[in-house]
Amino acid sequence: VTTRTVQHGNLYEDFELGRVFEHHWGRTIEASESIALSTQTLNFNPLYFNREYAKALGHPDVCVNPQWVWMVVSGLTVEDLSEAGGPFLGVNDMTFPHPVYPGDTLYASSTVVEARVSASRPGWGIVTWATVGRNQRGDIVMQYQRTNLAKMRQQPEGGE
Amino acid sequence: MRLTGTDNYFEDFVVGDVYLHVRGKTITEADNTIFTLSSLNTAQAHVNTEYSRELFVGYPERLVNGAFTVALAVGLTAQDIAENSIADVSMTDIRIASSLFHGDTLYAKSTILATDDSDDHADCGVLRYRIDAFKKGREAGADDIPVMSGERTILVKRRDAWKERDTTY
Repeated sequence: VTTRTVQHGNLYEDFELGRVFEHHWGRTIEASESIALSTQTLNFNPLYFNREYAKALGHPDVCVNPQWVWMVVSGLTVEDLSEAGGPFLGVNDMTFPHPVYPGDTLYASSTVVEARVSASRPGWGIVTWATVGRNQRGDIVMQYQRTNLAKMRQQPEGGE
Repeated sequence: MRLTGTDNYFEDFVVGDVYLHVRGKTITEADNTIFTLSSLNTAQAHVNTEYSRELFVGYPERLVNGAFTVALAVGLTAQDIAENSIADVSMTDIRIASSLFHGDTLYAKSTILATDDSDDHADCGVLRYRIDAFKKGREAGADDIPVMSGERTILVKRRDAWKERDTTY
């Protein structure tokens, strides 16, 4: 009998510049999830919850709210990038080159593009990753750069 | 049947105009838990109160998922600005200025930054606007507390191309 504690997540020192992460799991998107996010965030554009309207605008089904695409793609990255870290600081250059429809399956990958030690918060670094979200056909459905605090393995003496 | 408004076509947006969105949303434990875990976001700070309290001094509770905060801020602006949008183009300069916890109420205002022709869609214009999401100060008369800001660019229907068509659903 073996007792194990399985740790999840990476720390600042793991984010070497240029390191690429192919994130786990993938996620098939259902219409109901995007409709739930749209309605619960008061995002009242019928494109997201009226199939007949979406079809009249040339889509095969309702459009998945890009904010749900963002939540899922970034969610897929969390274990590798930020589970062990702190809150996210900012996102730049987020684009949505291809629509997502119910039934599509999303995958995410990320590259470390910047990493530096925080001057103001001992024991923490600041890391930026470029993340790409793709559907099951490999089309890029979103990309962005996210910057987070990342906890350092090497903690200052008497620190947090 | 007309399904969307007639006062929020591309032509209605003027650079510099500010929209104070009247609807706010109190963030519930259900919002944070369901949307965090159903998006496969495994960060403990959103779902484990004990972990959150140890993460930073002064955290009373589970931290609201920042991705959800962005989604909610966009949503609060949506009917006034993007009800007649046909697609999202981009977002940038998204910043989180302060942490949110369950029970906090988020509000948003929008500032129109640019209105441009679309190269690909003659029947739409490209609208770029800044979102400032905030919570109100606890004391009466206190300043608003900035929570999230960002720029969003969308394609919005032009009235001359869509007003008649928009009555036919």
